[in-house]
Amino acid sequence: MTEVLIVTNWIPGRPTVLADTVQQLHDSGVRVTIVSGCDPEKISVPEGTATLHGLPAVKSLPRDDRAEYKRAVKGRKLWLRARADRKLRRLAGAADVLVALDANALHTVWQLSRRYRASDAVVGLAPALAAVARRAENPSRYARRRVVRRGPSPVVAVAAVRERADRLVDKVARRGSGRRVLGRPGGRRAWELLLDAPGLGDTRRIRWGEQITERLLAMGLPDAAGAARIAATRRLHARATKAEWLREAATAELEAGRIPVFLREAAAAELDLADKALARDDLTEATRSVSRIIPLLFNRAVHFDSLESPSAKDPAGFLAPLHRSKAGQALVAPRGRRTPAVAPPGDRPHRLLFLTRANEYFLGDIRERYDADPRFEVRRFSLLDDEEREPLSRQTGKLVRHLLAGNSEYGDQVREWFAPHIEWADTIFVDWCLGHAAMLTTVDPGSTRIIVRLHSYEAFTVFPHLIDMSRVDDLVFVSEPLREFTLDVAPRLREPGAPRTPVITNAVKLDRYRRPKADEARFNLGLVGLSAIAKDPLWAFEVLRELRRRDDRYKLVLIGKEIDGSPNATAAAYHRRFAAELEKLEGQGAVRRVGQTDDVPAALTDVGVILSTSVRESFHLGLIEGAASGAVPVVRDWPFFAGGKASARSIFPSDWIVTTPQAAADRIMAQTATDESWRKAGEAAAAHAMITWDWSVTQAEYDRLLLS
Amino acid sequence: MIRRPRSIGRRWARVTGPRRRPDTGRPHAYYLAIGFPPAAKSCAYRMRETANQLYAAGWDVTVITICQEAWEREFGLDHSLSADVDPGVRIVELPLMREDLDTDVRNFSERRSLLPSEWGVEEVHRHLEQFPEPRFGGWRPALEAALLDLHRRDPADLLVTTCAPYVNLSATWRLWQEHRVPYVVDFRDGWSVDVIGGGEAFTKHSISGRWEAKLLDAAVAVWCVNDPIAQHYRERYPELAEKISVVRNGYDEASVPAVTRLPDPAEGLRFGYLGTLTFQPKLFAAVLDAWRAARADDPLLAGATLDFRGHIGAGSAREDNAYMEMLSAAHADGVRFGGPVPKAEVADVYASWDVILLLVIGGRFMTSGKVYEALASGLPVISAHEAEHDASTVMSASPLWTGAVGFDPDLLAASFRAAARLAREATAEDRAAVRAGALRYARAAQIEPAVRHVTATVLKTPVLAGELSA
Repeated sequence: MTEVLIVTNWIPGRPTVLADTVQQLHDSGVRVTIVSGCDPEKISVPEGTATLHGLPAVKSLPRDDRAEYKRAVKGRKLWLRARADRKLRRLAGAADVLVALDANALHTVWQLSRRYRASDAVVGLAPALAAVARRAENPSRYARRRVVRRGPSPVVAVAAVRERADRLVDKVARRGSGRRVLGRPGGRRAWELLLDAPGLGDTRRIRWGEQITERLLAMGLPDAAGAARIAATRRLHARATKAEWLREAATAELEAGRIPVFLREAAAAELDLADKALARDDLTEATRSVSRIIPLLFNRAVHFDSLESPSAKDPAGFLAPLHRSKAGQALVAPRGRRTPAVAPPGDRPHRLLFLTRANEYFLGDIRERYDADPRFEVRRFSLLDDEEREPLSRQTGKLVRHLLAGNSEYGDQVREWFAPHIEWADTIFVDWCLGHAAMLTTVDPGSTRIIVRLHSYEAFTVFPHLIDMSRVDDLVFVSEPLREFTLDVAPRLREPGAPRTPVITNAVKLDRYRRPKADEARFNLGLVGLSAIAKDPLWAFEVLRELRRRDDRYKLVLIGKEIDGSPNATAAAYHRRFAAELEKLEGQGAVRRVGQTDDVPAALTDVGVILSTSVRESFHLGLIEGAASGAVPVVRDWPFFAGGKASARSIFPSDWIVTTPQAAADRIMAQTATDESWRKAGEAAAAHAMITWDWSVTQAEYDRLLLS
Repeated sequence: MIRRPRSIGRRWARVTGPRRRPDTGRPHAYYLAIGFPPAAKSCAYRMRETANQLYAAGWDVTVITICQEAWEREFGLDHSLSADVDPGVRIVELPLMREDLDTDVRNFSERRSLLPSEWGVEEVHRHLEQFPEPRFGGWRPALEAALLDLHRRDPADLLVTTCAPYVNLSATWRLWQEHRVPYVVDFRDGWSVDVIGGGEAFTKHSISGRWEAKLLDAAVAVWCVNDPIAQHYRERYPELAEKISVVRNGYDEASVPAVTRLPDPAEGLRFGYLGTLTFQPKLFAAVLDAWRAARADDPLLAGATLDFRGHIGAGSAREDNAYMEMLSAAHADGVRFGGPVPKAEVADVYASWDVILLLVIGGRFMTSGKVYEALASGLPVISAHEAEHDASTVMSASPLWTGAVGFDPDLLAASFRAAARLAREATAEDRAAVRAGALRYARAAQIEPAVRHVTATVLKTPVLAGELSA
């Protein structure tokens, strides 16, 4: 009699089909047994057509199997229960056809088929019926097979030995990952080597990697945990697993207020997935992966709310995975334009369009000038003015997909929105190098000239990497350090066909800051604008403490909105330190807070020394306003750019620059030693500011830009 | 001197017909037709007719398809389909099979057994990395190598490629690139058109789009199964409009009963559906609900039965899926499932029914082959498909058609009632008139002009003509 053993993980999803098939098998003289991971009472088949058997409960499994069961996938879980069942082994040994009824029963049938090699092993009921029919057609052939194929396949024994060895190794590994080992650099290094060792296998590499990194994090060693994670992923074969593991770990680290050391590796793993998806035309997956690198490579906690940035340390290296990837290259693929930009016709005014989305603070004087110039006809195009279409400017994922696909419904909507403006304008001036600039370059500008101005933080965002620079004529920077940094993070800007990259400082009318200062202002340091972590007011506190150690007449005046600790854990941590120190210094009467004010010139009359304590700036307008007011400027050599091709030294006279709080204190003491020396130094600074950065000077540069 | 054909060699899974063609001097056409008989697939009918027509037009024909074992994994084999293949047609089977349809667990890797879904995704990716087609892309190297090898051994004067699978296009392109063999693309349902959802399936910029554009650009002719699909291509590639023509599927005269059955008032009406069930289960449920409602309250439907014949599912899901559950549950309503029908018995099946149920997915881009048989049978026909559907275009002239009402159960129930009345009331003359009107859709009448046109176009090529006579 033919015996059929049907294995199911759970209650069969198609009970009628099962019942009909079992009935059919029974009617043709087949003995059917159904083995299930669920309560067999819940399986319904016609009375007397099949024997039902339930697998043993998890709690009856051997200890090691119970431990493995917790983390095993469903298919393996069923097998762990099945292999502990003697009755099942007997049934399988007698079976002619082994049948997996569902996906989670497949592995158990696969394992049984290696042990009982005379049987057929199939998935699905129709193949089971076919196998039974084949046996009925040629019973002698299958009888011979039962004689010839005795005993399990040799690979079963090999697998059993391997499993025992694996479990032993796991135990050893658990014992070798205690605090005593991981607390020593040598122990950590040994683990890194082990996690990176060939032949370890993806599953174990991840399991051990997880175990080690968790312990290192618990020991307060996040960088060591990151290094172990990098080591564990280096040889991972499963791309999706690698990307997911790194991404989730990076997210957890960022949420905990730490900057992971493996951001670059995490982004590279995602980009690898994106490239693979692109190669198979899977734009949905490619877009998803590209979108996932944004919070990794361009996270504000990493670049804006920290005093260091991996991008600033190594601009080219940090973003190298993006530039190397096919996806990254597709995002910036030059699509060109029908015609180069042409000069406006001479028989009418130059049509100048200012394209903005939100912040128009730095545009005021420029727009005012050309509004009043009869040679120009000026219009504004703010994306926020169109409530219906404005949401398009917040859909970065759709923008990414459009860039990868080459066209899209999103692109059509943007074109429909922007085209009349492009059609009208001779020149479009885009302020801030952000999403709206990228949207604009999805449209062929025809003969319209495109100017984009990059201020500062945009260089740390994804948007310069989403802009088609073949459709930009001039990428204007407000300072040399930002220009050099941006050209480093977007190397295609140095390649042939790139836009011109002039540096023109912000438009600012400085004469309104020239007001008399009282004598007492000599000992007042001022910091204008401190809302961003990058302003690093704690550095100003250090300068203040250093000064007060020498002369307690010095005080600090804080002008502007204070630091916001809400965006993320990194910002919150800085804010906590700031608030604590501020409270202490205020208690000593050393700090005075002016807060947000509309009248900065008035607030500066009380400031004798103006500070720039930032880790990065583009131009630091607050400092220049202070200098213009006659305060003595003291500029920290902005660490993001210090030592590079361009830095704070490229903007300001060298004697303004200091590198340490002690040097700052030295300069302040020297310049404010007497009322006369202080006023003389302040006058010189004010004069320099006026002849260098005042709008009366820089407006000519804008004229040259727009009229060239 | 007339070129003497060489043997195509022995590396193939199976060859039907001579390895060396007879020395007749006829031009030689390869026909890349995966799904050729004996595959039990609906496309096999069109392929068989195309091969026969090519042969009749003076070509020696070598069909390239995949091995029969591959079809056993899918919908099985129907050897009765092969009976009408012209004996002069040579068939070469390549050892290619879909791994995802394998049901023999012994062939599975440990990973596939443990993580079947993940394995399925990886399998799709593996295919897509070779060619942008999820289940077949991985066949590209084998198909290209096979076609080039066959051409090297027995050169082609023409290649006719029929899709799906679209991976055939890669081998077609390779032969064109390396040997400039003129080719025809029989696109049937098209590629860049989404025949189910309507609209564009992929953009011209996509990988598929680039493949399609270059393939169609160099093709001698492009065939589609209906006007909306042809129109899609004419609009997408206006410069190629002249090459694009409609070659409808039509019906095989042998598949239509010689005489249309008249209902026997003593026994209930017999309704029937023949085809592969591939609809969304909820649409199928709507049809069964409508049937149940109509049968319950219309005396004309008392004792009526509704037979479903054809394939339901492939691989491990063959006849083990939601449709089977629904069919079993509807048994008390006179619904029966009788399994697939060999091609040779199709006429007998139609002859046993009083009304044909036409269940078709898609919309205006979809016709389906079964619509022509349904029309030519002279039986009343109920449509369960979208109102705006190319099947409606074909059926609209028939007074025995109840019209397309979509999938609303109430409207479908009314269609069942109307069909019952038509079955009782339609005269033999009505039925004969419908059958006569359907004659223009006979398969041979659809394909012969297209083959004749291609033959004239290709053989007029001076270089080729010179080669043939040399």
